[in-house]
Amino acid sequence: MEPINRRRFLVQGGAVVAAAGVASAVPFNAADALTKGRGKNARNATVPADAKLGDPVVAHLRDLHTGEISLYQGHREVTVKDKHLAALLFNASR
Amino acid sequence: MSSHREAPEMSKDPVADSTDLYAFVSPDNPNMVTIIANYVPLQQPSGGPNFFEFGDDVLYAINIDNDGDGKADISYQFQFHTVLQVGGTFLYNVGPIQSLDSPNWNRRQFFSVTRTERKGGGHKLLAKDLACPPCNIGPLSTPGYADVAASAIHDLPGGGSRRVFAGQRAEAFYVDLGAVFDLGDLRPFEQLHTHFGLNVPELTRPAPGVNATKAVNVHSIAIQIPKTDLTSDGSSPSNPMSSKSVVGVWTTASRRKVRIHNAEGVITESGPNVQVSRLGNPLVNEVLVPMERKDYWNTQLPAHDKQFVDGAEHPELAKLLPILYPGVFPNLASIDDSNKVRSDLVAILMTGIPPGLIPGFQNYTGPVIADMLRLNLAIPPASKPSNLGLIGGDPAGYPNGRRTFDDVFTIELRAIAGVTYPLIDPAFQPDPAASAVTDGLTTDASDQTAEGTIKLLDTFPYLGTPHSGFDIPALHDASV
Repeated sequence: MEPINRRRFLVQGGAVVAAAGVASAVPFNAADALTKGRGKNARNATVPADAKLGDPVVAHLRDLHTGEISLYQGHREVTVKDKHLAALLFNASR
Repeated sequence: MSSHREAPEMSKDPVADSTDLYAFVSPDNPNMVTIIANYVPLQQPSGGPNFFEFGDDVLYAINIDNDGDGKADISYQFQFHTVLQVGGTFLYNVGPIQSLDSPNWNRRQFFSVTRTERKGGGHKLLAKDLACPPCNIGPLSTPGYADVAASAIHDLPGGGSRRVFAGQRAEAFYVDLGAVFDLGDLRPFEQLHTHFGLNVPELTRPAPGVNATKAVNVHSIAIQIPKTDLTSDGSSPSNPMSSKSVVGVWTTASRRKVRIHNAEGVITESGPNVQVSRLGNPLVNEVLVPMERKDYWNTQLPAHDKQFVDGAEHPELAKLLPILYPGVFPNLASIDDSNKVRSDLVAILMTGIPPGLIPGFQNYTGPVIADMLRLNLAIPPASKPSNLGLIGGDPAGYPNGRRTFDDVFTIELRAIAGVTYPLIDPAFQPDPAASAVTDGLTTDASDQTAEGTIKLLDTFPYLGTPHSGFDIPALHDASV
């Protein structure tokens, strides 16, 4: 996986920082998780070349230690538990 | 108030603030039921140039429970969108608005109606792009207002006089807020108030009530539908004692879970809708729920109201009345002192009144504790209505549904003061004052013209033509 860069998240992800001081933008893989199931692709750092974000994805990192993250896209809400992703988001938001 | 600004956070979000809910068998068409949900409270009619409107970002709903579980079996959902038609102007209108498609009208609002059914998951768009009327501005901007507003009554599919309206109306709820929220003062009885030892000469003699909402407007969502659209078996009830004759009604407003204000002024919303406001019976969240739980209450389903039942079982106001009016409510004080459960109030507000307590009447939906406005559809409109509803001997009025003119403040005040306690304890003698207390805004039980309700209509949507900003340039400057 390429090094996490906060600016890169914001620009490439087209996502939006949200809520609580511990939430941040999410990469494409989390957006993918919204459409393909509850976090099963959360560790997949690649997306198809023709992938489009559509509606922005908003991440609400609820618990850093359990990795509980609520992801919002359009009218959907998906909650995943992923400590690795939680750590990436937390560090990116610092 | 009934439910205007009744919770701390909701008071800051008026477009999602449910203020009053009415449900009654339509007096001019007894095969139909009219349900009206009001939002956007306390509108000063002159409040331009950005006059009042529904929230495009709010999902409004009228919910019906027809099997007594406190969950919506049927919902009518309303969503709005706003169109700027003129552009390039700061004005709401650039000339007289004399029709719903007037080119002079800059900021217009439209809505859709969707009916959802829990059983089977039905979801049917009934209509879309229905026009709201403008706000009532004044004789130059909105001449012939009543006719223009009447043209915003829309038919719904299915025939049978199904109709819908969404737009500004005159406030029909009446209450003497200024006195009531001054530590429970009731002007007609204020000489009996404890006054907390203060020397207040103007409170030493009775005074008439003052309607705090007499010159304000609200935004109403009104729908008229056949009884057969609401019952569990599609029947039109004729037996008042049948459990199938009773439906529970409440309204909700929901917002998207996430809202982001971007730096460039663009708002992004995301996530599912979550309920932020609701209303069944008037004054429940207002009076029976402690302040720290009011906003939480707004997020809950009626089916989960058991957690709030203590507010009806041991209402704070029942304890306050004997303290605020020393010696006036000794029998009520005896109930309070014995810590007896006010099962009469629980029945009225949370389960409906079971059969057997009032001859020929019931509006019981079962044992589930749920704040819903319960309407027995088999009870026809009254030929001589009492604004005191059931406690005035009129079973077609509150708490059997709620009509636009029902004096719900007085009804609930008297109920809390003990007039309904004999329902569960026939030996109890209510204090004489319990059947007399009022905030003094009606002359008697037949009075359907309390201040501020003079504009009520005889036909759908029943709530009256809104006050115009020209007529009411400042609240209460005019004797409307």
